[in-house]
Amino acid sequence: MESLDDPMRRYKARRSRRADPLQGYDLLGYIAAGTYGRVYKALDRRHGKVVAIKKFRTERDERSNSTTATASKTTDTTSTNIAWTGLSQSAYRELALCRELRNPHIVSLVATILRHKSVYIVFDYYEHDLLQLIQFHGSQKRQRLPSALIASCLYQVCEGVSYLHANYVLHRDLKPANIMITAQGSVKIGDLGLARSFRQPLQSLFTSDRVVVTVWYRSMELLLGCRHYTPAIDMWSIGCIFAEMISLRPIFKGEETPVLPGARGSVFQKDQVDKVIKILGTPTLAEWPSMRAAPEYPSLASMRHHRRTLNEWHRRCGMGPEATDSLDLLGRLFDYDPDSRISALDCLKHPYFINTEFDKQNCFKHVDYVYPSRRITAVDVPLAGQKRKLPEV
Amino acid sequence: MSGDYLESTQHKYWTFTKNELINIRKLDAPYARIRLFLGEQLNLLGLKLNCRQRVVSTAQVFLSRTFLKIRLEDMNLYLVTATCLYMASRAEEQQLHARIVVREAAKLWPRMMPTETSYLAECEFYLLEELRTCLVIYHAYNPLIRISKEYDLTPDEFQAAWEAINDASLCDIPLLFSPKVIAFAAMFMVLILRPELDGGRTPLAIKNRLDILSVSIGRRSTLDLTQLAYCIQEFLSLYSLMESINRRSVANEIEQLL
Repeated sequence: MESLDDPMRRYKARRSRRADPLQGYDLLGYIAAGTYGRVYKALDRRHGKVVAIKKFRTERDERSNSTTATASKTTDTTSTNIAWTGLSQSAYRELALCRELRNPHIVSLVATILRHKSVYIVFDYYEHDLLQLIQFHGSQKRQRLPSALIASCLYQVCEGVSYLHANYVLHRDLKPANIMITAQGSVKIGDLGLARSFRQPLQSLFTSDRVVVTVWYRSMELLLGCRHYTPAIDMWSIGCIFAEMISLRPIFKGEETPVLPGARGSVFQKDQVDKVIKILGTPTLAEWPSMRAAPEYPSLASMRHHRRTLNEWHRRCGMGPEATDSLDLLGRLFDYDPDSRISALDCLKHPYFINTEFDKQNCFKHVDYVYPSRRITAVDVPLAGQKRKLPEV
Repeated sequence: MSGDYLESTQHKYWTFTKNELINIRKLDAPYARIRLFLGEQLNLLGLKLNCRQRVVSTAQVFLSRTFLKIRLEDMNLYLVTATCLYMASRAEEQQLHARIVVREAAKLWPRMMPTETSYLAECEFYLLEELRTCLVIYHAYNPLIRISKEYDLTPDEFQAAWEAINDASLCDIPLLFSPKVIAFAAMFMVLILRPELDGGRTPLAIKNRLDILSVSIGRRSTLDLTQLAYCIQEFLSLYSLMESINRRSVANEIEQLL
């Protein structure tokens, strides 16, 4: 690639003289891995603060794996090192949106770094996430989340989501693992890798991404294959998060039907639908008239009919008859008809938040114990090894 | 994403004064004609690839911003142009295949465009860094749609103003002015220079409209009239450059840079 024919050689010569911004960070360990890549905990030496660095997996060059030897011979004559392949669309979205968005309840981007053929996004470091809190209560503490914490988390999430929606951004992957919480109890929505603008899309949102939202948090209209989806899909996910905070386990824990590689169209997630209707009851055309047009409506109609048992579910979670506000808000978030489902802005005005005592900025206020810190795994490469680069994903 | 323009990276990091642009570019004297030429080539590539106008215009803005960060002799300019279109297609969620972009670009610019797809991906990587990963672009089309109703533009006038906005992306206008100012300037260009498009209004109707226009624009406290005048000036120099440019000699000039 260093040949004279390189169309970028003068630029690269100049660029190589610039300092590598990654050198300014000391790696402290790794936090998590996902489909997107890995997240590391690191020390930003210049600002003396701890940050999270998300390293995106670079897309594999599918072509070089699948082409025959003869074809690759002709294309690989000039370059022997790994071919440059594009960044994932999810990295693109997260880079683009996190750059623009600024809100106390959205994770804040500190820097973006493009080095060593990888994209790194540096975020503020958050000590907790909601999944970790829920699991701590479910397995170790074995008691419900304090109601002030539930209300505060829910309120702050709704504030963040109403900001996103006001800016024409759908998150499309809200779930407890993507809700970050600082040691001071401030809640931040993270992982915008599936988020995108819904203002004047050049093509329908469905065309570009067939499958969105982790199946347990996926709204009924998405499960029924609706193509024109709206901010209401995020509200359903918020309902699932609310329920999970109440019961400490996912409310609709369906078995995902795998999408076969190369399959056209989407797959009907029958088990997930079954889990939903067992609690919310089978949707009727009276409550959701436009359901008739949903592609998977016939599949739903052929399923066993269930009555609504949300009240019983709520009571089983230990919520007494006095908790009518919580039950009402839950019902509005789980409104089958996306057109009448409550918006994030209206959530903030719901009586639940008026009648519950909680702090709007700090979800740990009134909580008299401290949650364990995020678990950090040592990185197998010594810190000195990071001199040149962060380890490969 | 199109929330508040005043909070956008476009407003905060990518809007400049004329003097700032002159200072940044002091070494690149032939800039304006090379930029215009490449902009026209970018439009052609967009046409070949069936791109929507918004994708092409976003690519034009990426190209203008890129030239504030790299020197003209740094990279193959045709590769940079094609890469901007590829990036815009992704930023606007209309993703084109890298291979197809390279293939069409190589057809359009034989001998000039590197034919290896990996160069496009590599160039994309560098440009993302130079652009500071600011990929959300606010165009003047939305403001134009809003004011066209307010000022009752005929379909022909609207179309002409729309095209003026397309043209504006080939010069510094998007780096200098807010989308709203650009939309107003484009409308003025049409109302002043293309009176034949008014759909045969009666003299009284014309007078009425001009009255509404001057009164309401005077009342718009948020519209900076000096900016509007400067923007119209930029439009006029763009159109005079478009008429005077010798495209063949610019193409040779670019070849010299390679």
